[in-house]
Amino acid sequence: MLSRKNVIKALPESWDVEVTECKHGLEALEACRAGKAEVLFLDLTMPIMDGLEVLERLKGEDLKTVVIVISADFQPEVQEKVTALGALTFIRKPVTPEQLEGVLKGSGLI
Amino acid sequence: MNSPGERDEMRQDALQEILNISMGQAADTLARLINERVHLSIPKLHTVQASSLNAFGKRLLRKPRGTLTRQSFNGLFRGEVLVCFEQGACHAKLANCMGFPDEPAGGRTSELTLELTNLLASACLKGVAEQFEGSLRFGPPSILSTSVTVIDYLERLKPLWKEALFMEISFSVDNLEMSTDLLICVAGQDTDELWSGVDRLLGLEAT
Repeated sequence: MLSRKNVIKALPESWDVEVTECKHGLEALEACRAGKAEVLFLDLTMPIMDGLEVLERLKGEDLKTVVIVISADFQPEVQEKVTALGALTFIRKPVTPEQLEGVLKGSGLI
Repeated sequence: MNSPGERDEMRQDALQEILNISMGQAADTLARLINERVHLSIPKLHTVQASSLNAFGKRLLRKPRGTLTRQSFNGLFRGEVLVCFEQGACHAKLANCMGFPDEPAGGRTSELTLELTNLLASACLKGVAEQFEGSLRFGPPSILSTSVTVIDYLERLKPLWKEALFMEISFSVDNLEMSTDLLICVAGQDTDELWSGVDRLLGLEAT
């Protein structure tokens, strides 16, 4: 909950988007399948389904959601794995508004 | 204004996230040392009455049994870290990574276990202290037993506590057959400092 609130708080105010919050990976995957997520801010350490499995499923189902991973688990192997699974980038927790704005601008999302 | 129930839920959620961030740092420290991927559990919080220790044992993610070590800390808040090395790790590789010259045997294994306790306890709690913008001091680690369970140990300490907060985390490294459970224990009378730190981070007013 706090993790989600921190990400929402860090989103640029001027970014006109509708936000869907998900409690775990499976909910996030279902939101992507339902077309609710053009951009997904994904944690890796989650109950029910972790972030790596979400990335694998998104890739397997060829869903075109842009994924930005925001995680406390920043081991080099984990970062390599999320990139290989198609994530746009990896941000180490706790995320700051400046970091998020930089990533969104850098990738042309804003 | 949040109800007391909502406030407690916010505090617990915040502490879980603080631990999550801290464990990420600890896992990275260990992963760089041993050059292997470290798997982490989602941190779990337990508020436990001494009178219901057996029920607590059932709520633990796993039922750790193995070499049990402890390390106390104080400063920002005080408590004790219990580490249970559940399975026999590949000591030769671990020892090598940690600068031990030869494969440890006997006393060397104990020394390595103590080094690992120190590494894990300080790496985990360092991140917590940093987020609270404070510091913690650690006592020397010690081996409690190679046969006693966490619950057995806590049972023995029953006269010293009535209620305590336990923060449970599990680490595992597949290639080293290493599986380690870590419990950060804070006795009821010492949790006020911890929750004050959480409240400051959440911007909650003192009650």
